[in-house]
Amino acid sequence: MPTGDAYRRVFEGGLEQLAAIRAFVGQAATELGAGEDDVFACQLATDEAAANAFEHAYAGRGGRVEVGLCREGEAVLIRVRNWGTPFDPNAIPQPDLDLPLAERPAGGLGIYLIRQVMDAVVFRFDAESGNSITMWRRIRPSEQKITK
Amino acid sequence: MDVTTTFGPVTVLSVTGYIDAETFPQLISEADKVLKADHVHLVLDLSGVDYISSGGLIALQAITGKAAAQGGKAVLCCVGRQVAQVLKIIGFDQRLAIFPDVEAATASFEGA
Repeated sequence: MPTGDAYRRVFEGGLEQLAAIRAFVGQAATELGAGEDDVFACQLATDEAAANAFEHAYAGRGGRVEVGLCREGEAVLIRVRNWGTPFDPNAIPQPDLDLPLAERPAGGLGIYLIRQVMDAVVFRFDAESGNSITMWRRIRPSEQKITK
Repeated sequence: MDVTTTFGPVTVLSVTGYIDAETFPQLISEADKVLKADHVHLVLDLSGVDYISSGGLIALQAITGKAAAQGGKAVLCCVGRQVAQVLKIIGFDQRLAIFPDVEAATASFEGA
């Protein structure tokens, strides 16, 4: 990727695109050999990455998100790109899972979920080629949980 | 996403579809309507929910918080496997009351 990904589609707009993005990822990941839990992990991670792009990179004004998938060895590789404002993923605090809900800040869980369900995650910010998040999900034997 | 509300001593909000970044504000606003009518004992029946993302978790956190702030309580029931896995990753399974069915969820309010 960006050349050579087996499946690629561009989604224009905002959060209303998320359902279509999950459907696209579901079909592509299945065709790439992912099992049910792997497919769900791929859908969740891509949804969170795309939601971040629409909400933060494009600040709710709408924009273009490209989703590409391919098989890389025993893993499904997914890349989500946008051309909005970059952000520093390391600046987002880890949620404190020990806190009662009432004391937890709302939000900030998307990147955490992505890191929990994917095996590797790489962020790249580039004025020319856009902001990208590349994620790998190793295909597991069936009947395993979505977490690592 | 659709929400069907059945009012009673314990009010049941039956949610169907997906709760994501697009739809979660709608779930909060449906719960707000119920709470504004002073129905503060809520069951969120998630049997029809096939997908939840971090947006949905924001809604669950907000609704349980608002119900508690009004002296009531919001509990969940009928959580599917994938939704349960997401709740577990984020530790909500330890923080929310989750019941296998509507009857058990409703019974949890007895004496409240």
